[in-house]
Amino acid sequence: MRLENKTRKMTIDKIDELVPRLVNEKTRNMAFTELVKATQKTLYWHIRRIVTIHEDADDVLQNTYIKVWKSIGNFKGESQLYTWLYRIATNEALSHLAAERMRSAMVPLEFEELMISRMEADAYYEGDEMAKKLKRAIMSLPEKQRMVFNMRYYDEMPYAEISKITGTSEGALKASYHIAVDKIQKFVKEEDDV
Amino acid sequence: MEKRIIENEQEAFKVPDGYFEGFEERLMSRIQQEEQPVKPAKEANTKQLWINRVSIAVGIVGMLMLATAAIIRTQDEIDVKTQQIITANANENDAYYDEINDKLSNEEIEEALAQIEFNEEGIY
Repeated sequence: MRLENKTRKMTIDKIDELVPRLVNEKTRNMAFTELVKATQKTLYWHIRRIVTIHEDADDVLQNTYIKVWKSIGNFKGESQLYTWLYRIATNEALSHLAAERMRSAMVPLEFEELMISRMEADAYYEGDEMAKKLKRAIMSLPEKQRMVFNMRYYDEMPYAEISKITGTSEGALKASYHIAVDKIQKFVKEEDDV
Repeated sequence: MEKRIIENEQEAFKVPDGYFEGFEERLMSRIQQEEQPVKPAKEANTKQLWINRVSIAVGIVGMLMLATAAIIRTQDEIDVKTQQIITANANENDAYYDEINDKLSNEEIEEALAQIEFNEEGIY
């Protein structure tokens, strides 16, 4: 699930080699299959950490690849393919959350509480008390801060790469990450004291 | 922050068995579905509308043709019957007058004719 830097570099290089074949209509099918195989797990876990529920993550992942398939012919190569994929996946996941937030407007619970209760009820979540506590702490972060925290902490993604995906300056990302870590630590400590 | 906590959280998320192995196949079948040309609803509706209109027109023309044929046939039958009646009447009249000529004497005929002339003056 966590992508070591060396593996990440290999993945990025490997999928960038696919670009000429993806742009060419005759070789697109095969290259796309290779792209999916090479990136599906990384993208899945990135999406899953944002939307938390497996079924939702599956939907968002499929939508992400469908968007990639439909627009790959127009890929200009202005950014790395890997960054482009991550950006589409992130946008899709955030759009999904926004739609969920709208749908849950009638439920008398804070959206984050609702997400936690849905996650705990998910058949594909088996967290113990500590895991649930940490998840609650992460869910208490604002959406974008949570996303930066996930990419930096779980994926160990360099700030430069996160910056390309989110369109935020590296300085702002560093500050955001440290604030997030601080909030999580406080949240966990407070829960322990209670 | 302790990495141990993060590891626990990470392990808490599961996926169904064989999820990643079957993902590509499911994705490609969904892409195929999305790529199938879908006729615009408007075009499909217009086509259906024209089919309905043509069917109705053919139906109406068919009914008119049947009705015309029936009228013509009936008229022919009427004409034949009328002709038969006219012929029959003419025959009957001839037979009637023949019978009268056979049965009545000249005096009686003249008396009858005088009666008719009398009636024609309007006195009954």
